[in-house]
Amino acid sequence: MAERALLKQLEAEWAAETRALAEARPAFLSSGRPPIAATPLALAAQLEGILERWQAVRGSAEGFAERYANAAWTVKDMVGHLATWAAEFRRECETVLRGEGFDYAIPFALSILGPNEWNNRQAEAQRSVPLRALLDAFEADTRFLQDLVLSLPEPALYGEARLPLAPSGDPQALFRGSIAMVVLGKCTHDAYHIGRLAALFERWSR
Amino acid sequence: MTPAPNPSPERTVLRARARGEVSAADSFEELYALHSGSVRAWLRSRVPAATAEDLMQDVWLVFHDRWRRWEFRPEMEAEEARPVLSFLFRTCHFVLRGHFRRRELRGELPIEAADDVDAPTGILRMERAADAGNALRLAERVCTAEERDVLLAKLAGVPAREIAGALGITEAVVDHRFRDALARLKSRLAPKPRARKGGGRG
Repeated sequence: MAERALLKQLEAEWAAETRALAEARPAFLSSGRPPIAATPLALAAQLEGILERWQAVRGSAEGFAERYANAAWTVKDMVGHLATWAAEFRRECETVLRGEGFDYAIPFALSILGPNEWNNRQAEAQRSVPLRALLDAFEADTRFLQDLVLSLPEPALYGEARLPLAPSGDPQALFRGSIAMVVLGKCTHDAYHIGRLAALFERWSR
Repeated sequence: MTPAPNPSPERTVLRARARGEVSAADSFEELYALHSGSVRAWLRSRVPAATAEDLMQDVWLVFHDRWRRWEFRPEMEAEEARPVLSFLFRTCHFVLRGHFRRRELRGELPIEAADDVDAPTGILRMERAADAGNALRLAERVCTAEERDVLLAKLAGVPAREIAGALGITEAVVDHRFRDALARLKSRLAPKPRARKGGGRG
C-alpha cells in the first residue's frame, strides 16, 4: 500500500472516530459546582507543566544569573524566590498533615501582589546559596508535592486548616485553606514567575 | 492570486476570543466540542474506557482553568500552530503520567509495567472494532504504545515540536516513530501474494 494512500485512510478513519467520540460539554459544567482544577490528577498535571517550563528556563537562568530581572532582584534572586516558596509550600503541607499549627505568619502587608517584606527577607537569606542548589531544591520540592497530592486520601487533601498566609496584613487573621489550595496556589505563583523569566530570556536572547 | 487558506476551526475560535467577540465560557464549549473526540481517543489508546472518562475530566478541568487566563501570543497565529490542541495533548500525557504514578505509589503496579497492566480499550468505538482493513485498529495491535502516541497526535494535527515537548523526546524521534508506525501498517495492509495452485512441491 502506498504511503500517501495509507495516510489518507488513517486521516479519514481518525476523523470519523473522533467525531463519534466527541460531545458537546464536559460533565463538570453540569455538576452545579464551580469547576476548580484541584483533583489529585489535575494538580499533579499542573505541577508537571510547571516542571516542564522550569526545565525550559533552567539553562538560561544559569546563563543570565547575574542580570537584573527587575529593579531589585537578579535572575538568581528570582530563582531563589521560587525555591523559597517551593520550600514554604512544602513545609505548610507537611505541617498541616502532622496536624500542627503555625508559629509564624506571612502578612501581605500593604503589597498588592504578595508579602513583600517576607519575600525580601527570604531573598536576602538565600543569596549565599549556590544557584544550582536553588534550581535543584525547587525541582525536588515540586516533585515532593506532586507525589503528595497523588498519594493523599481525599479528606487529607481537602481538609481545611489555618495556614500562615495573612492576606489582610494582620498576622492574627490567618488564611484558612486545604493542601489542595496550597498546591493550586503554588501552580499559579510558579506559572506567573516562570512565565516572566521565560519572556525575559527570550528578549535577552534576541 | 492564491486565495488565503481557510483558518483552522481552532484558530477561528481563538481569534474570536482574542477580539472579545465570544465569552470565555462559550468559546470553551466550542473548543470542547472541537477537541473532546481527540482527547478521548488519545486516552482510550492508553487506558480502559472507564478510566479514560475520569482522566478526561481532569484534562478538561486543567484546560478550563488555563483558558480563563489564556495568553494570545503572536506565534500562535502561525498557519500550522494548534496551541489549544497542543496544550490538551501535553495535559493528556501529564494526566496519564500522574495516573500511572498514583498506581505505582499505591503499590498497584511496578514502574516498568505501567503501560502493560492498564490494558487500553482502544481508539475505536466498540461497534466498529470488527472492521476488517481498518488501519487504526491495526495500529492498536501492531504499533508500540510510543508509536501510537505519535501517530494519533500527528493525525489530530499536533505539530511535531509540541509532540516532542509533551513526550520528552526530540523531533527526530517523533519523526522516527511516525515512520516506523506507518511502515508497520504498510507491510500488514499490503495485499498478500496469492499462493500458487497445487502447492510448491511439484
